[in-house]
Amino acid sequence: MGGYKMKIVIPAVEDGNFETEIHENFGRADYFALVNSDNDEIEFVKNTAAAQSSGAGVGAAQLCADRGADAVAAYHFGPKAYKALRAAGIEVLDLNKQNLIKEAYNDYQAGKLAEAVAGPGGHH
Amino acid sequence: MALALENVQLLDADVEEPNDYLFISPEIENKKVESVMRLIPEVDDDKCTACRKCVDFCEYNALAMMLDNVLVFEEVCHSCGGCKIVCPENAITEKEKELGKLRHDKLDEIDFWQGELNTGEEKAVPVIEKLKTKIDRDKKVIIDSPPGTTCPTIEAITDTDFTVVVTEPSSFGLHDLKMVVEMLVQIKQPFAVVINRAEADSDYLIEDYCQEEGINILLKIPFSRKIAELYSNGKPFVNEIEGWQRKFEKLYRDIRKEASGYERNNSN
Repeated sequence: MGGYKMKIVIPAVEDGNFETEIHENFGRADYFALVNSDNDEIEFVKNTAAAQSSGAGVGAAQLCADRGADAVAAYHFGPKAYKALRAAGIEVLDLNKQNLIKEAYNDYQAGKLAEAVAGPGGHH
Repeated sequence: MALALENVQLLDADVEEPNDYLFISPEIENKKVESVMRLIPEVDDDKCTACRKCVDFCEYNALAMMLDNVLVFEEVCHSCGGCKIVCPENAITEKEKELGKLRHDKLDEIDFWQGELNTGEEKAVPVIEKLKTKIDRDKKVIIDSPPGTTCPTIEAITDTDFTVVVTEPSSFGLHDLKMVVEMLVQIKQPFAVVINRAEADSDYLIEDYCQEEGINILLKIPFSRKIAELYSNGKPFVNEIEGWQRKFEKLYRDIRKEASGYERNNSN
């Protein structure tokens, strides 16, 4: 990435820091950790879409796009969230065994995260 | 019950998984089909100025603004048309999309209609609404409602004279029965209970609850291997086992009695 400023979003269970746990879902995550790879600064944003009755994934993707995310890493993306993120030109990355935000971020920095595929969505 | 009576109209409103046809009209796939359509927004990118009013308006997140383009998620769209109204540039028009189908078969004593939601669609209510436009008031109309207590179930029940709640004597059955009863009381719908798969040693689960709540149990269909075997061969037991024709005729009379009793009480 060579000094180019990148913003990566990771779903989080609460408003916290690099030691906070990753949320198991993208659209229904309570918070998003926004990490700036330029200076390792971390910021938490409440996922206002999580409580909505429908289209949480789309709303969450909108939030990421509005915050200028370049990449999103999560365990699970619903099909609509995936489509929306890709339409925004955001890189969609898979997590698997990472547990804390810092682990996901370190693996991202090391280029260890693979492209995600869309999984089944939630219930409506 | 539909098979035990004359001059019946049966509407299968369990549109996510209609199954009455298995017993009534196994060849329904080849019968007359009618489409149920709904409206979906279409955005003219040349007119759109990416003002976001439509995205902010949509309660269901059916629209997203990505790189100044509006993305439409048809599956979650409720077809309310609000986005078209709030668009200051008149960039949104609506196009029709097939949401589901109605199928029809006419038998000697049963006028049969089936609602069907297309795979991938989530909004069952408009299909049930359209299905209910087929109601023929000169017939005994039986609607097979979707299970549960959500909008599709309420749509199927609305404006009917009476609801028969079919339950099973288990903890799960009782739990769901309580939810359904709560919903029916709230919408002021008269109802009674039928116990399916009834067994002497577990019926008390339902009976105790119904007695406490003052709910009538109109019929018990026993848990029987014979009925299950017939069912799995697509044979309705009402036609196969002696005595059930009369029991379902009586069920119908009891329903009429309950429904008219409710009406009298409410008009006083």
